[in-house]
Formats: sequence, structure tokens, C-alpha cells
Amino acid sequence: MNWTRWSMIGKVVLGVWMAGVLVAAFLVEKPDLGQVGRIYFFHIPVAWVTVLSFLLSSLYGIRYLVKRQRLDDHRAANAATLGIVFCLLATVTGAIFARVTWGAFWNWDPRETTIFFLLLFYAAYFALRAAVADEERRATLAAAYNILGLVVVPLLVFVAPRMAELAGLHPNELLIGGQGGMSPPVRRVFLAALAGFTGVFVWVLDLANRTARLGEALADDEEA
Amino acid sequence: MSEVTALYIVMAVALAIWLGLFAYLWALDRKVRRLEREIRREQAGHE
Amino acid sequence: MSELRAWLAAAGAVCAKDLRAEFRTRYALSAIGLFAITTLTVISFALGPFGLEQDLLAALLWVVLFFAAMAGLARVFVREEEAGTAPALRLAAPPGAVYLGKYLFNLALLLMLEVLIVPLFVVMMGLQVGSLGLFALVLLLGNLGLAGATTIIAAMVSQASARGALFTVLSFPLLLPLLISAIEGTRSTLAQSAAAGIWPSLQVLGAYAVAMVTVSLMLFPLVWTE
Repeated sequence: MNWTRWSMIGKVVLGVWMAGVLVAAFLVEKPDLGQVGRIYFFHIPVAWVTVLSFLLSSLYGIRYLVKRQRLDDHRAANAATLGIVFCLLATVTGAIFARVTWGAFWNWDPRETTIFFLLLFYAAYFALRAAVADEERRATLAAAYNILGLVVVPLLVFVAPRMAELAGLHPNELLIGGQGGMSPPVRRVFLAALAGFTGVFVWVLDLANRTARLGEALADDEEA
Repeated sequence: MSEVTALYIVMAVALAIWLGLFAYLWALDRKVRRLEREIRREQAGHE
Repeated sequence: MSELRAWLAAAGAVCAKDLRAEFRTRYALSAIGLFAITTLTVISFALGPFGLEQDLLAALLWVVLFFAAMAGLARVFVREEEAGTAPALRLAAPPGAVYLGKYLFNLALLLMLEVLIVPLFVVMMGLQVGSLGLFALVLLLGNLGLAGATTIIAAMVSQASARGALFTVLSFPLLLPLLISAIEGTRSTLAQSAAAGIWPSLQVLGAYAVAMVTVSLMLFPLVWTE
């Protein structure tokens, strides 16, 4: 059986898996945080995916700078596109959760600060891409900006808790700090959701990249 | 409306959204697979 | 060793050329100077009567500096593109030296701006500095990082369209950790605060400056060459 067959089966499995996750997310016992805690089955995987996208986009960018293959730049842009979509989802779900749990949509706690940075970064990344006409320059500058972003992230992570201290919101850190406080069934659903969302991300990114490759193949055919 | 009923409703909505999304992704995937097959055949024909 | 010296000399020459050109026209300095003074006046006028908290003043200082930087620091490469001297510069000096020269120029610009603005800010807004030495140190480290980030972005933006807005859009996310730490650090140097809390901010500011300049030196050849 070839790869295509295997991937088709895998995608069907993913479909069923995610359906299962969705059912379980709402039917599993009430989490410690209350019914609103169910948001975590969606908010954290989605936030994780946006971070993953950021890393992938940077890697594709670096690979472009090394190998100079246009396809890598397309891949970087695709990853960034998915990244910003998931970042918006993460920000919104996080804000909803924050409003219900702590009364305010936005608090500048460490996680919120880093997700906000990511949102700004993605917006800036696409603004840069839009402003450069030449393909090669665009790819080079986009990859360079991506690397700059990558360098800044560790510093931001170091700095973010200070912002929370300033805002005076310690309880946040306890809750967001980890998955501490999940009973085994809840944790199982959470991990399954994590895997499921990652799978969906990989599938969609793969689709976009395959489409890009088709585009390149057609362009090459025209030239030949 | 009881809490349980609300949960069922949200779950049903989420499920419906996912199934719709999955169907769309599957259709896209099929189109891309077809194009890939075509291009592979053309490139094999050239050689 | 002499290679390094030649390289440094080239960087110095680039910086000196820019400084000479700047003093002839005083374009950039006027732009950011007037911008900063205007902003400061507006803030003082609008918020003066409210007796602002010192913490807030520390943040405002960096807001003014940030916007002044956005107004003036992109010029360092845009001017070369507009005047058509960029290709000549590419031939005249190695990329790293060009970057260093431009970086030092931006740094000088910032320092000159602050010599003007900071005393003005202290007087007009009533900022009470506790430890003058540490206050200056935070400013210096902040400038090193600010110039570091803005110079490489200025290079990236110089060949794009919508340069001014793009420069700000690209700079802000990268400058976020710098601004946060600079404000925090400045707050620690105020008369009312314990200076001990300053150390983490200094660490971040220092790390930021080092990281930015290093990465910029590595990326600049890619950004600069056509």
C-alpha cells in the first residue's frame, strides 16, 4: 500500500478522532475550574499550534536562506497563515475564558502577553510580505524578519512574568502555569485534543504546501 | 435550560462544524490528489 | 588583526559620513527633536494638572522615545536609497561595516535626542530620579537595544513601499521586550523605588542589545546585498 493510501486512512482516522474529542470534551466530568474549564480543551491546543506554526515558519525561512528554493518560502508563508489564524483563535478563546473566570477580557499575564506578541509579529510579517514586490527579496526579508522574531521570543518569555506582577494578578499564574489540577479522564481528553488539533494543523499545512508545489510545477512546465 | 442540555447543544454545534470542515478538507485533498496524479503522468510522458 | 582594524575603520567612516551629512542639514535630528518636543509639550499640557504618578511618568518617557525613534531612525537607509547612493555604499564598504556604521549613527542620534529631551521631561513632568547613575545606565542600555533593532529593520524597509508605516509596524513587536524592560528599569531608578529591583531589567536590556546586534550583523549581508 502506498503513501497516499496510508495518508487517506490517517485522515479518516483523524476525522473520527476529532469527532470523538469533541464529544468527550463536553461529556467528560466537569473540570475543576467548572464548565468553563472545558475551553481548555480548545484554547491550549490552538495556542500550541500557533507556536508550532511560528517555529515551522522560521525553519522554512532558514531553509530558504540556505537552499534558495522558492517552495520553502511558500511553505513559510503557509505556516504563517495558519499561524495567524490559530493565534486569533487562541487570543479570542483565552479572552473569553479570562472574562468568565477573572472578570476581565485582558490582563497582560505572561501567556496573554506572549500570544499578543505573536499576533503582532504575524501581522507585521504579512505587512512586510505585502510591501515587497520582488519575489526573492520578499522571501529573503520575510525569512530575516522571522529570525529576528525567533531571537526576541526568549527575551519576551523572560520578561512577560514581570508584566503580570505589575498587573498584580498572581492567581493567573497558578492556573495557567500548568496542567496541574486535571483529573485523569480530563487529562486524557486534553491530550487527545492536543494530538487532534496538531493533526488537523499538519493536514491543512500539507494541503497548502502540496498546492504550492503544484503551482511551482505548473510554472516550471510553462517555462519549459 | 439545564446545564446538561446546554452542553449537548454546544457539543452538537461543535460536531457539526467539524464534520463540515472535515468534508471540505477531504474534498480539497481529493482535488489536489487528482492534480498531483495528472502532473506526475505528464512528467512521466515527457520522459 | 589589521583586517579587523580596517573593518572598524570602514564602519567609523560610514558613521562619520552620516554624522557630517546630518550636521550639514540637521534633517533627522530636527525631525525627531521636534517630534519629541511636540509630544512632550502635548503630554505636559494635557496631563500636567493631574499630578501623575511617577510610575506612569517612567512609562511615558519611553513612549515619547519610542515614537521619536519611529519618526527618525528609518532615515539612515531610506536616505541612501532616495539619494541613489546605496549602490556606491555597497561597493565602498563590507556589509558588516556598513551596518556597524549605521548602527553607531542611530545610537548617536538617540543619545543626542535624549540629551535634549530627558532633562526637559524631568522638568516639565516632574520626574523624580533617585539614582542618576542607574537612570543613565538604563537609558544607555535601552538605546543600544533600540538602535540595534531599528537599524536592521530600517535596512529591510528601505527598499519596500509604505516605508514609514511599515517601519513602525515591523519594529514594535520586536521592541516589546525592550520597552517593557526599559520602563521597568526606569521605574526602579526613581526616587520612590528600591534600586535593587533593577537587576533583572538590566539583564534583559543587556541581553537584548547583545542579541540584536549579533543577529543583525549576521542577517545584514543578506538584507543589504541585492
